[in-house]
Parts: sequence; C-alpha cells; structure tokens
Amino acid sequence: MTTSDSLYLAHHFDDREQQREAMTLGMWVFLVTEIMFFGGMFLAYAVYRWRFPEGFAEGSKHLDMILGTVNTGLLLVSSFTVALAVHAAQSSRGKAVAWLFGITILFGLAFLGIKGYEYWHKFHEHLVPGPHFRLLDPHNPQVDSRQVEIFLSLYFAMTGLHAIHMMIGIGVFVVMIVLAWRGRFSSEHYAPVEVVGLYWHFVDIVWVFLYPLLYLI
Amino acid sequence: MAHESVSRRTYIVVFAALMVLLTASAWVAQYSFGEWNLVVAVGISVAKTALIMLFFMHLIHASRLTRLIALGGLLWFGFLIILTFSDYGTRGWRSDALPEYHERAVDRATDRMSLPITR
Repeated sequence: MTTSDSLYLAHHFDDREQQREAMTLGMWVFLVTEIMFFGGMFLAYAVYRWRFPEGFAEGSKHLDMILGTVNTGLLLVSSFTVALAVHAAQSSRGKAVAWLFGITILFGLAFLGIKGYEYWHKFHEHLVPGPHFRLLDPHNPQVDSRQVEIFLSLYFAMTGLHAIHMMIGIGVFVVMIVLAWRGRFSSEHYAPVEVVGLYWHFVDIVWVFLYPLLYLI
Repeated sequence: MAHESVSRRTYIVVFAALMVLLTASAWVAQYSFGEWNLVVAVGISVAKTALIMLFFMHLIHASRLTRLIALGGLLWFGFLIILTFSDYGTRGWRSDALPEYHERAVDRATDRMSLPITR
C-alpha cells in the first residue's frame, strides 16, 4: 500500500479501482434522479406544446435564436475543456486540471451573462409571466396571449433550473481548482475530477435539448 | 489496473462533430419541414447527447452496471412521456368527451333557447 493509498482510499473499499467505480456509479445514479427532475419539466413542456402549438410557436419567436446558438456553443466548448481536464487528471497534470477548469468557469460565466441579458430583455419587453405580462407585438395576431405566457413560464422555469445547476457546477469547479493546484489529483486518484465532469456534461446535455425546444421551434 | 481512457485526439474529433451538429441544427431551423421540424431538431440533439455520453462521459469504456444505470434513466424518461401521452392523447376517445360533442350540446342548448325567438 502506497502513501496515496492510505490517504485517499476509504477503508471500505478493496482498492482504488473499486472506489473509482463506486464513485462514478454513484454519480450516475444521482444523474438518473436529475433526469427525472428535469424530465417532469420536459413532460410539462411536451403536454402544453401539444395542447397549444400556436402559443408555443409565437413564444419561441420572442426568443433570440442567435443568443441561444452562441450559448449552446459556449456550453459545448466548456464540456470539451472539462473532458480535457479529466484527461489531464488521469495523466497527473494537476496544474493543467486547474487551468482547464478555470477556462470552463469563464465559459460558464459567459453563458450565464448572456442568459442574464436575455432575462433582463424579457423583463423590459413585459414578457415575464405574471401581472405585468403583455404580448405587445405578436407575430400572429390571432394567438391567445395566455398560451404564450405558459410557454414563457416554462422557458423561465427550465432555463432557470438549468442556470442554478450551472452555478452549483461553477462553485464545485472553484473547489476543484484549489485541490488540483495543491496536487491532490493524480493518475492514481482522479475520480473526484471525473465525477464533477459527469455532472457538468449532464448539465450540458439538458441545454442541448432546451436549445431546439425553446429557441428553434 | 488502470482502465482504458479516451484519447485527447478522440475528444477533439468529438468536439468538432458537436460543433458541426450545432451548426446543422441552427442551419436547418431556417427551413420548414412542417411536422418534421421537431423530429429533425430533437434528432440532432439525440446525436449530440450520444456523443457526449459515450465519449465525454466515458460510457464507451464504462462497466456494464454503469451503462445499465444510464440506460435505465433514459428508459424511465421514455415511460414518463409514453404513458402520459397515452393518457392525454386518448382522452378524446370517449364520445362524450369529444369537443364536437360539447359543441353539439351547446348548439342544441342554443337552439332550444333561440326557439321562441326564431319561430
């Protein structure tokens, strides 16, 4: 048993490989509960869209497709940098892990900045559901504005929940940067980096579906 | 034993493929395929997700148990959608729940009410 074994191997595991396997498996189980969590919202979206197609088509036209596309690109790049960070951890390059997570945070913050701008714009245009909601210049004058309000309620709920997940991810990355900088990860011990990566990729996948469902159709 | 890992080259290829798919989804959104719009858009998202899950999330080298759990999550989401829509989608199948039935009922009621006026 090496020093790092005694440091990082919990006593109830036989070896590090078993520990790593248990950690990733545990993360996947958590992600399955997250699929159910977001799944309920996607289901609500599906039912209302099926019921009110005109309202959803109208609502989608009030979102900025360019900003949505840019944000999708930012998240895909951030997933790429996370994948590279896991790779760096596997080859014991702790400083590289810290840098790559740092870049990931920048992309994540850029995403949230654009999202915040979009939210601000919606407040400005009275498109936030509630007493001040007004559909001022509808593309389809026949559309029932209450249907559009439902679309925008789902827009805020789904993108809001997604943004909260991103903020949590960014917080965890900050901790991981400190640990990586102190040389806590190596080819022998990189499961924490991998597990955080899984979470971030999941958040990316949620957006990969939100993007076409909200912005493109 | 250290498990197999995805090479940096593979990550770069997967990332390039994701960017191509993103461009494709933004590009095809300019065209209207009618009811196929949703299928095309979600289809591209499924392709992106498959790439992310297999390579970025390492499912391609993961243990069978891990793959089973991941697949289970998707399967249950499928149940959620399919069972809900087999409810909502078939509610109109009861003749007295058809919108036309209610319209007819309203028409009959209006007819009855307007009888004294029209005659």
